[in-house]
Amino acid sequence: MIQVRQVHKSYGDLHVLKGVNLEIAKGQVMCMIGPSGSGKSTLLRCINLLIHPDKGDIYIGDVRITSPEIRPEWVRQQVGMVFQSFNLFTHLSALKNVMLGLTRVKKMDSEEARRKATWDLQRVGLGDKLDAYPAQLSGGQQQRVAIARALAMDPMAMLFDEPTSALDPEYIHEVLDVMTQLANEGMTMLVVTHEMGFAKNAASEVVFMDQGQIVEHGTPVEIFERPGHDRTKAFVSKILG
Amino acid sequence: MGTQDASRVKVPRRAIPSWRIVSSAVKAHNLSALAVGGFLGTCILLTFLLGTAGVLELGFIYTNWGTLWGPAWTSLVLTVTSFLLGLALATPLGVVRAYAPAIFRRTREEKKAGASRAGRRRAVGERSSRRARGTIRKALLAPAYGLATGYIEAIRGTPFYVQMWIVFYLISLIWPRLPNLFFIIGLVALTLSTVGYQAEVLRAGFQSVGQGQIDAAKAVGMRGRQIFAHVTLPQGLRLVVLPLTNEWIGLFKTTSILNFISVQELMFQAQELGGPQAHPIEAFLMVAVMYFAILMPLSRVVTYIERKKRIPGLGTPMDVTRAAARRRAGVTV
Repeated sequence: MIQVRQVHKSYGDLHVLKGVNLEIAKGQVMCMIGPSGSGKSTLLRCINLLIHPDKGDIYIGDVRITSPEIRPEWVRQQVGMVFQSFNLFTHLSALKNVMLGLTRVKKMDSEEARRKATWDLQRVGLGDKLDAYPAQLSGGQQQRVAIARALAMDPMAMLFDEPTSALDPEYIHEVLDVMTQLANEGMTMLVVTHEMGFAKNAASEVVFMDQGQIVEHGTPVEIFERPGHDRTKAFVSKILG
Repeated sequence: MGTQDASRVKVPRRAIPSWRIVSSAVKAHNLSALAVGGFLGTCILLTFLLGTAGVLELGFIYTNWGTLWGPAWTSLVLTVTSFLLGLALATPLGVVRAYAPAIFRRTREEKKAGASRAGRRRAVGERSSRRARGTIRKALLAPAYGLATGYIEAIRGTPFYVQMWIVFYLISLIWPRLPNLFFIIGLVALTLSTVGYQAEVLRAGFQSVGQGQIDAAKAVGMRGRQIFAHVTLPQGLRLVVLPLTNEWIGLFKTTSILNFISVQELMFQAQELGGPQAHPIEAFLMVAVMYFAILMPLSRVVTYIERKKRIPGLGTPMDVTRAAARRRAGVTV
């Protein structure tokens, strides 16, 4: 489904990604862990072309999205993205947040878009918050609206960039529940997260990234309980506390 | 009701000092009413005091008040027209000022990254005319940015008085037989001036819209122009309502300078009344009250609109409604 081959990205002298390879199968849920600054977010943003890699190729299905012929807007429709800081459009209600992409990008008429958006918000358990503005929602609710917004575009895969790390502890589970439900429905997901519980329950593979490279990958149990690499060991022991 | 009852129970029973009544009135957002009432009260009091002392001739004010309506209307029309024209012209300037540097930077980076990247925005089968238009737009960007910046700096760096005379001599040289010549010169001068200020206000507004909002819009697959129309513009405009109101107020007061080129606005009328009839104090006081009487409700209206159109959590907090004050009182008392 998603293939990342030898991707490099640098900002000036800062070499953020140093030849990353990654392969995610259809329906697979992959979790990515790693210290801050290791390039996880950059890699995620490369996959939906919010950042264009300097070198290397990324495939979605059979399409080489790093090719100059591909419009980034097309890629972003295929791959939904959920941000750490939610990034809901602050001037729009929850319903309108979800509808905007449908009416403007998918060119649905507003009645159809409203129906679809309502359905997607109900799917994340927010059927009663359609008219609330982002500032009137809790962090967990905002993040669920953001998930609904991404889902509404019917993406082939979803990228999650630390979706729970900006949340108060009491709201984390409601977002993780929605994500687990998505995983069970067979959505292809790449999740940057340090939520070990989610990784163990939902992920089939965990990747450890450090200093712009993928250091180790394996099943959640392998990575969390029997890490092979010293850097993985050090990091895992840190997040386990 | 529930909270009010509860708070009534909690309040210790004691005599409320008078300053508490004043301060609670302020809390309940009667602040503006107090200010306006105080100002008008002072004015009326002073007028009568000065009138009885023989400094002011109240009869003069009474008989000549009617002559102010025409000039006031002229000032208002000049302000509204030049403000709206200015807004229409300032929006593209603000866009160029806000986005050109980022596009320059991106182009430079793309060049550095290699020629293959430069073409990546072309879609398969995209018509060449569209591509050509994109190239033309890019080629025009640098001169447009330079011109916009130069224009804004020139306007902001010179007094309106000077600008007005330049416009005056230019237009009266080129089209000396224009009907309503002075009015049109005044309108052009005001518009050209306010464009410079409004463009900078709008640029700041567009740039205050967070990168996260832009990223989110990109992530659902929106194109640049759609992002601008549906995210940047609605959010940016809400953020600049207050500075634009300031610009609007300033503009209305700037119309007074147009009396130097014989536009028959309020200030012109004050000179007419004050000079030949030897009642300058009355005349200027009348005009001052007129300016105030027009501007004060105007800014109240803007504040009202701002509060009504405000999106929770966007822009400056404006928790000054009666309901909010009551809610706060319910918490603290």
